[in-house]
Amino acid sequence: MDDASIIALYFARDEHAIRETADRFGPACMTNAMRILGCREEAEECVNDTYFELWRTIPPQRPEHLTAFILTIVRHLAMNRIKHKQAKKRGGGSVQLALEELDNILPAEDDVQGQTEKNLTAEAINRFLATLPKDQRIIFLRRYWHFQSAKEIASALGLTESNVRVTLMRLRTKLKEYLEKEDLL
Amino acid sequence: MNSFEFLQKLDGISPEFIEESLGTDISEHAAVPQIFAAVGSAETVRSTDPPDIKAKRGILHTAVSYISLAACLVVAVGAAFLFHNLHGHNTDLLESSTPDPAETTQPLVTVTALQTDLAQQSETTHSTVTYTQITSVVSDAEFTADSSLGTLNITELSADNTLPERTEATDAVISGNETETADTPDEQTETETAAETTVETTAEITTAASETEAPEQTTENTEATTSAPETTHSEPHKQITPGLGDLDGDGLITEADTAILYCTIARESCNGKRFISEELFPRADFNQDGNVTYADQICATRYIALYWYIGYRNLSVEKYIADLNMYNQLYLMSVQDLPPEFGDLWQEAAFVLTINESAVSNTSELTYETRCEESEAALQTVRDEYQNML
Repeated sequence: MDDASIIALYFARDEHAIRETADRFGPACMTNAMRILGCREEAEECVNDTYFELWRTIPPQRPEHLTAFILTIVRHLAMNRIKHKQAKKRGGGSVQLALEELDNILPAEDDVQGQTEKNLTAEAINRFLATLPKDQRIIFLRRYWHFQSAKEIASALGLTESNVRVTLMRLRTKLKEYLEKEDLL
Repeated sequence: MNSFEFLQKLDGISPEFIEESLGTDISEHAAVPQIFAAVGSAETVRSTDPPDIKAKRGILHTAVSYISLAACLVVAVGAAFLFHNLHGHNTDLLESSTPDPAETTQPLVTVTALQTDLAQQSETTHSTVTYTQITSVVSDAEFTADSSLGTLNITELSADNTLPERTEATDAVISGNETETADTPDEQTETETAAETTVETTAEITTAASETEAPEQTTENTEATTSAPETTHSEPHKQITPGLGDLDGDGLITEADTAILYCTIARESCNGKRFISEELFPRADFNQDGNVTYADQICATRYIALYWYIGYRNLSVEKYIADLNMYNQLYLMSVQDLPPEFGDLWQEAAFVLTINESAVSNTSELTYETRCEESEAALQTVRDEYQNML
């Protein structure tokens, strides 16, 4: 089933949409979640949350790029889980709980500022990526968006591992210079 | 903006770029590690797999090894049973579990005859014997359960249809996990002993015999084992000291405990004085080998790494101590593919570990005070980093 048909199922509120999504995108979602979380059980939970989030957001949203849309949700949820786990690691229990409670009632001023900053950074990174040759852009995204290891990237793109590492190192330097120029660092 | 926040902000990257990075086929990115796919495969552990999958693969590999051993034993008995029926006379093959070296030629000849019969009947190897045939002679399994001779012969039988004469060299080849001949007398002795006494190695004989190529991944595991500093062996259900490793009494095993452990060991070796109370001292023997040494600190540091950094929150100290070698390997494999957001943090953790290991090797020129200071500084950096990431 193609992307448009799956989206149509969501708009029709047909529960088969979830099954079709799982069939088509489940393995990719699981892979990405596993790379980030490193734990199968948590990854499964994360992927299930992704399906719920899809069900919640489509409609009203109608994503043009369903694959990227789904994987972005997976990544976002997985990263949030990591952040939450780290907060709980060291004595974060009561403090974290208090922060979460306050998050629900505080005005969204910080959120607006944070969201604006986030958008600015994302836009800057998009512009930066647009300046890169395609192969370098793919290497960068596979590493820092999909969290693939240098070995996996090298294997997928037919490069040597050291080649990938060197490219990534140069890209990091370039990105730092670019973000400094944009006053984002 | 720290590196974690930066990675979170990458969520806003253009979907066109994301799809471009995926390539044309989404299935390329669907390489979910399937733990059950490892069954029957020589490659049971992949370095790119997440740590928990590696652990599961290891357990599965062991399970498959046991099943292979059971099948091998049953086939051995089945072959003997068939031989009895076909030739109508009993041999000494099943009677002596520890054959006299002078008599070893007799069973070999017997199995050669058996192998010829089997080849004439169906031209099948032991791996294709049906389960019905196997279960019909299960009751005879005890006869050959302890007979290394029977196991070895059947293994050779499965490799090809000619039975080589049993020599030290062939024993070494068969006993090894790979199809290489052992070069030194020590290796031969070690591998032969392993084939006779351990279940897992005997199971691996079947793998080595039925597959002409040696599994490459085994080499990596061997290297990992070699570099592991601990010598404690797996002893499930071993009783350990209550509160083991928790030297500051906060109920957790953290870097603070390793710092105390470090100071304890350093002071003990320096002036013989105890850094901690006598009551707490037994808790310092983290690897439960009866001595408090730097090995305990490495052991504790790796536990902390696995528990706190890599995220094995179900890993109890009891479980860790019981399977110390396995978790050492797991630790070494886990360090290879770290998520980028843990990069800096891990550098600090690795630094702590380096200090510990340099202390063990006794090659460090650092004084006791300097070591303590550096260790504390490194631990503080780790703690600060955690705070930044909150």
